[in-house]
Amino acid sequence: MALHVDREELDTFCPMLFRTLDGLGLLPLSLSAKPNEFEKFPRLLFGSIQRYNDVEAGFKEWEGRVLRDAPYRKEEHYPNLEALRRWMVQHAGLFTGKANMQHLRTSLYARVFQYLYPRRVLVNAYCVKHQRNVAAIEPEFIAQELPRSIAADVQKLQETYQDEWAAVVTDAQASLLANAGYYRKVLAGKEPIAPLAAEVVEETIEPEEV
Amino acid sequence: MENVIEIVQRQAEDALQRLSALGIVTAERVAESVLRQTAYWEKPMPNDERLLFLRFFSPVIQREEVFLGNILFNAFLSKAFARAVAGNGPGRAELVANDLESYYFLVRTTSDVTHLADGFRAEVERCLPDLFFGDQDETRGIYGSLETMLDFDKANVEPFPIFIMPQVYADRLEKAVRASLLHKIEKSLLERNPTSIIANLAFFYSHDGAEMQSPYLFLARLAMRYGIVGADDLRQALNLNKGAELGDEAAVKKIIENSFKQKEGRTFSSTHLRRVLMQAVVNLGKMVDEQPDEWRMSYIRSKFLLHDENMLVDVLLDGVSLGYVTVSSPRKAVDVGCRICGVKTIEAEDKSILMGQNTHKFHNQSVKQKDKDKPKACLRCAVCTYLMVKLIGSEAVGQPQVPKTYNLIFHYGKHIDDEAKQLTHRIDLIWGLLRKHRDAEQVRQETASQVKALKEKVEREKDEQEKRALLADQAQKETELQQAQAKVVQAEDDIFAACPWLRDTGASATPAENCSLDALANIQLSEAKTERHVLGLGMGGYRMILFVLPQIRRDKKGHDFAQHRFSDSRVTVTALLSFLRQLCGCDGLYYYQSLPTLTPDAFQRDTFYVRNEPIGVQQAQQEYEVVTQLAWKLVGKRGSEGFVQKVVLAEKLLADPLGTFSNVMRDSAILGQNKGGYRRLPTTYRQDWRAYDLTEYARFIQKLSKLQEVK
Repeated sequence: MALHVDREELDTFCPMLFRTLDGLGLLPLSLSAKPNEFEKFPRLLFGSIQRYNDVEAGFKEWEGRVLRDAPYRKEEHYPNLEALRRWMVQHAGLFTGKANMQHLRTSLYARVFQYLYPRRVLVNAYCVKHQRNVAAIEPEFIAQELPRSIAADVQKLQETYQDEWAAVVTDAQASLLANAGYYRKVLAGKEPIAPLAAEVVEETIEPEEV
Repeated sequence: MENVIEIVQRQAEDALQRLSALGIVTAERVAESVLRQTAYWEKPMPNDERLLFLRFFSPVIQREEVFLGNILFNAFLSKAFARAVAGNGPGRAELVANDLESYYFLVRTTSDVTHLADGFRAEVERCLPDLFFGDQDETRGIYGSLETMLDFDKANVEPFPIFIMPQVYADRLEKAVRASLLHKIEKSLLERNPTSIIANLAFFYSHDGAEMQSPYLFLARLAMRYGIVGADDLRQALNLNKGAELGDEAAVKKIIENSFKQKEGRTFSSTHLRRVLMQAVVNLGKMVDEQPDEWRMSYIRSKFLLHDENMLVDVLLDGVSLGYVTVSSPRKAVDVGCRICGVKTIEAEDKSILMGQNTHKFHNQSVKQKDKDKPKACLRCAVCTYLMVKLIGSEAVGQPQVPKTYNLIFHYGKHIDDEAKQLTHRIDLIWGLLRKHRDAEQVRQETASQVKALKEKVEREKDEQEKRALLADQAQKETELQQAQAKVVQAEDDIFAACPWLRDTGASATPAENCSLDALANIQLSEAKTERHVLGLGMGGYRMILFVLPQIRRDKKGHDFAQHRFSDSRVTVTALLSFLRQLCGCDGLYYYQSLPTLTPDAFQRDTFYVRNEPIGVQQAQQEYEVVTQLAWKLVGKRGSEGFVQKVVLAEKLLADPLGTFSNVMRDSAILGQNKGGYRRLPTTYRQDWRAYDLTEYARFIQKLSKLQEVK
């Protein structure tokens, strides 16, 4: 029997959390990061809440850590952090239930993948398309060309994420702008977008018993 | 969509029409009586006739040892009843509906129910030998064949339960054994040691323990002592010179044994051996006819049942009732009941051919029994097990011969006998294709590894001439690989052609990636395919169909973990039931480890009952298919061990979809990880994304998050 959790509320909460963390630059820009790099800050939040058994206190402790570790844009994104706190306090029951917390911990990697993957791929595809064009990082250019210029390339992605495609595009645009310095270098060819050809892992399949 | 009441009502209408009794009672009344499990009522008809509503009841023991046999026995009894009514004057019986224990008949007759019961008893007594020894005749409720019973290789471990048959059946049994043996010798290629044939001969025709213990000695004596087989013929069969000295019986026994086992440089001639064995059976038959006291099962004759036929029928019909009449006289209460049913008098010995691997093990009644060698089971249970072995056969597990195990699936649907046969053919066809795919895949894998090894050799080789030779080899192997790949693709196309719904649902035709195909591929089926059957119980209309399938293959150590995991897993069982449903093409219900009963709560169309839990077809398609598809794509290991891993993963995915999938992703070679224990879902590296295309993962996450139940 499937685990009983407040799925709808958790589905609302997770993107809020990931968006806030991404805004603060606390989620990896590269898709080749290890699982714990994706999960680090959400896990710290859940651990903190469980340690205090109180959402407000747990969040405050976590907030301090997050603001210390965030590389930049702390003031700009503080309202998002505050909005997240308010939402979590309002829905405190969600985070004191054992089943929900257990579920959040175990399902975190799949959830963060689901959030981050289309956004990073969109940005990657945009950078590949506009390589050597540093002007492509200008806000007006991004607003005009993302995703128009890469529509055909990301069609499969759009079909998969059709329900939330608008949010994915907005977040990808915001990510490009927030990390403009890095992506300017990428577009100029000074930083690699991602490994050109990922390592191919051979899969061995054992033969069937006769 | 029709419900159970409408279905039974329609069946009742058809039955009333066939009996020309439409105005006598309404179909609603009949259907209501069926669903309320009414035992009896009657309505007057013109010309002293009556329309009887009769519940024919025969209990079913829900123990694996006897369950299947008991169902077959009840099918035989119900058909015997219908025959008895037809043969007993101008009456006619029409079956309205049935489950495993109860068969509801409408009978148009001038007799009363007591007379019908007497006629039924007489019919059972008349046909009982056919039940034991007759060939399959579904119209009479006779299933399996004696030849299946004779599939044993050792004569000294009581491989045939002669102790449940009355002495009077000896003649019939011997004739049936003789016919089976002749057929077996004829169809056998005799390329290897004919252990089963000579064990059969030794068991049924030996005169003493030594002959029974050693079939080789028995064959030697047939030639040297009894003159049943010509010595020259034996020499030819053993590839010896015509005048070669055979020596005494012990020496001949050794020569025969070595020749049959092809040891110490000895061999045998298949053609001449066939002649010798035929000669032995024919001449033994003649001797039996001429001197029955001396030759008709002389060594095992004392093992026959002490009861006469009448008493046996009495025991078998104990508990059977026809309306308000019990068919057999009630038997006395017993101190120590049968180890299977716990109720009836113990009369049958505790032998592994009937009681399986649990023979001689502790059971509740054993504490009350001081003598360990005393009988442990009742005759009814023993006969039911016999019927089961007659249908699906037995196997040697170590020394003793035990009944084969089975998976039983019940299905209610509107199928005629031909459709049941067609279903068997389709299942056989799919089995054949799965085997073809497995063979082709094995060749492909072997060739692929040879190509890989050759490529590595070429890279290492410095000598140009050697290199050219290796390159030529490599080119040849690559051509072979292409051919092997083409065969795999062809096998998959054939599977799609046999199961067109797989393509429609986006399922894979590769058995290792498809839950139901993998379950079928892992099922242990012998060449003779005696273990699988699709049987139509009941008589026409909306009837019960019985799928008897072998169990999942045991692992190398003989453990049945895979079968346990399979039967414990709702998801996997449901996948197999969905497959059978597609195969059969109707919207009837399916039962696995559930007892089909004609009650509204256990009879919903488009429903699978697994361990008495109803699972809607839609639920199975929307939820279970997602997890099975995923699990079968993710686990790379094959064979029964891989099957268990897949089943476990599917169950975990159902219990905590996103949590389990997160674990899978952490242990897969995706994103920042370059190795993992799970196979990757289909993915390619996209240059225009500078990333792997992992949309398949995203799609499954979306599907799985919908499975996560909301509080």
